[in-house]
Amino acid sequence: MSRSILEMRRITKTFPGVVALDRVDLDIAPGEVHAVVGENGAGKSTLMKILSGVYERDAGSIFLNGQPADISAPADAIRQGIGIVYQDLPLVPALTVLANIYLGREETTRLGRIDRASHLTRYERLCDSFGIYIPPDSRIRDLSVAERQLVEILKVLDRDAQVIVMDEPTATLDQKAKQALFQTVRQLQAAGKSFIFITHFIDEIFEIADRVTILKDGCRVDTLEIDQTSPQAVVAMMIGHSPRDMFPEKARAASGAPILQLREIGVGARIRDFSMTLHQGEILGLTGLVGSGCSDIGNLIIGNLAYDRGSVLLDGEPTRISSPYEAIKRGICLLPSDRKGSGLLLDFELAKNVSLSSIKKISPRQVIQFKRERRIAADFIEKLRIVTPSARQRTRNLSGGNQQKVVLARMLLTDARILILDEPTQGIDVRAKEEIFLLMRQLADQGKAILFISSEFKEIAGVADRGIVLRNGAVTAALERDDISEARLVAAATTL
Amino acid sequence: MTMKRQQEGQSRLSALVKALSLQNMAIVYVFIILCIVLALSSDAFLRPRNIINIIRQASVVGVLAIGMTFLLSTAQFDLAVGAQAGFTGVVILLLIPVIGFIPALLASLGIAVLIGLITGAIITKIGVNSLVTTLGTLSIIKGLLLVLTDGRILRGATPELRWFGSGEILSIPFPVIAFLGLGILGEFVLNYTRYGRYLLAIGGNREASKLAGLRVDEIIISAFVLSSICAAIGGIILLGRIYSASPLGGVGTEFIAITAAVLGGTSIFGGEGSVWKTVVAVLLLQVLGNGFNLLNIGANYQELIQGFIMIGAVALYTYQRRRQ
Repeated sequence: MSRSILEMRRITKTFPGVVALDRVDLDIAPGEVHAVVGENGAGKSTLMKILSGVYERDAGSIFLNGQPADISAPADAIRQGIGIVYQDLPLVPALTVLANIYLGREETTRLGRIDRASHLTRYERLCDSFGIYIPPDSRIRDLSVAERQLVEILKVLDRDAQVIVMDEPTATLDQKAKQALFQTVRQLQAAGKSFIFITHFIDEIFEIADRVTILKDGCRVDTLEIDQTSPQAVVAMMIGHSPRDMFPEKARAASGAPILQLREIGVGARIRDFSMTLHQGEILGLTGLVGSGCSDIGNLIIGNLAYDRGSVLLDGEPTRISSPYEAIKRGICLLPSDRKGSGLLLDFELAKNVSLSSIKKISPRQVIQFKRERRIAADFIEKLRIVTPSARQRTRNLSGGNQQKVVLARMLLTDARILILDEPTQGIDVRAKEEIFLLMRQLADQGKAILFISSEFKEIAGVADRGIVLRNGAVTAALERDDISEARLVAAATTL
Repeated sequence: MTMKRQQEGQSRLSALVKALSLQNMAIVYVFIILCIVLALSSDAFLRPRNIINIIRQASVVGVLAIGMTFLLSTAQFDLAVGAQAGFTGVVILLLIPVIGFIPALLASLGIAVLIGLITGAIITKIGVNSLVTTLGTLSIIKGLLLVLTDGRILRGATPELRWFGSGEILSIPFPVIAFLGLGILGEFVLNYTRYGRYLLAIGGNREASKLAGLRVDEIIISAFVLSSICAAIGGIILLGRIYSASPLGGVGTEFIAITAAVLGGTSIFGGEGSVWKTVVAVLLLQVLGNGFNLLNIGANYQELIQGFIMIGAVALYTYQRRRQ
């Protein structure tokens, strides 16, 4: 094999009480796409933060082109050709593509004016050489997530990145955008760029990567050539035991009485003629590509989004719910897709996050019963197997899967009859996913009605009893018990 | 089982260590050190008369700062509370001859509730941010002060009013009781009741709080109302102490109130708040001024030092947070 462009050797990093990385090796060949996988908490992010200079390593060394590299701040990493494309895409929404790419590195004319002409030439040369094009004068806020990602890639390419790290690049992309991204990656690969792909999607690795490194509990399990392994083998190494079927058994009996009905709901041009019936004891899947309007449905049911046409029936009675407050009072609860932005109070301790929707129940009089609050949280920690030192841990310090379980615990504590789960498995590891699916099934068996919103077709096919597919705000398929399959869902979501 | 208990004991100990850490208690330690220094360098400092005096002088700003702590906990603030305190005095003096003492007091509190409701409604229901909205209300209230007083100092306070400035219960002056009493009540409400939890939750993440079923807008409006009522109470104490109402009375104290709340560790981004530390911070600022007098440094330096302390304290909090 040719000489490595990047070599990380015996990287070790400890945080108070935790060994985040234990002598981890990673080497990247020129023009290689190298996937790094592992459950949440396996050490992927820490390893990348060390590479990008955000964290300092305790021990170990980094070599670039065979030379020892000194990376102790993000600027060092950029200068030495390491480009990071972050998951949350730190771009300035109000500025143009051009302004964002040259932000902080503007070239100026002699009078101190920003030299637009020179930027433009440089930008066009950059675009030409890598076969990517985004109009330079579009504002970031008008671009899709996929386009923003390309802007980020252009930004690191302009800084002459040799190794491009992509953190969960496909998490927010639909199928088509994902294929486009992979196409771009292949082009850049042909131009000699190397990629480090951090991802939770094992299937994707087999589409795009040359090699894969598996991390578990801060250690490197193995690095494998992609054509010499299989998704099952990779998953097995990640979770440390052989993967059972990820999905729980579906309900055998037909579901119960209709509990929530939406009839010909419309929201401007975003949602058109949407109808659905949710029954007691079932998991109804709602799926579509990102931006198809699935999240809107969840939000309008709980009164967080106003609809202008159609009607909602709760237990057969016409109802208008105008706020999440009312929704919870009537037994409807939403788990929002953006866990950190609209789900959790990151600086609150776990117990307070769990109790948030039910403080009245825990403390019938104004004074908060702290002991009771923590006891209830401790029950959920045990029941949902939340990994945390205590009920008083700040939720910011929990891993993604455990954070999601905290929001789930909050929902469960409200005793809601109707649970709307919007992308409950986003950014969480395989084992946590499995646990959440199992929990969903148990809840349905207890008689709860669950609306499961996800853009993961495989998960909808694996978990839901029935499925509805949205495309651009309109229903393209309603699949019953026996018809539901990944292929059918994908077809309905992506083709007319 | 024993291991679990041991762990619990350990976590309780570590919680205590954390609670007493420099990060959490910096303001308290600074206050204690300052008091020790002043006690050592001046005999007058620890005399009961002097201590009571300090608290009394701090009471108007203190009451405002307590209200501000509630607002900051929800990630809002109000720049008009100082002017509102002065406005309350003017309203009372103008109304006493017309409707009598008690009705005038009640009317001034009613007006405060109204101001809080309107401010809160503009901010939550229309969505104007609190900086712009309260800059506007500040200007309106200052303008009203000038119009109503015609730019002159109003006199004509009745003897009952003086009680709010210097009346005593068990030989403790009313302003001291009001300030410390509201401090204790405020600390209890903010950190031990459902309402306080709601305030802190909204400050921590408004969207998440809304989706969790809190009536976010109503709670934020109620915080403005509370802060407004505190401003009115501050105004009544001020009127009772200086016995007259000037068109500029109270204006500017909002900044000391915000300074004190921030020094007390209440985050301007919401989610964290401590009323008792706000009270300590108010006293710290007052003691600083008092110390300057006792040591003959001159009160002119107070604002200068105040500014440095504010930035120093916030820099420390921020630095330690970032390190976490």
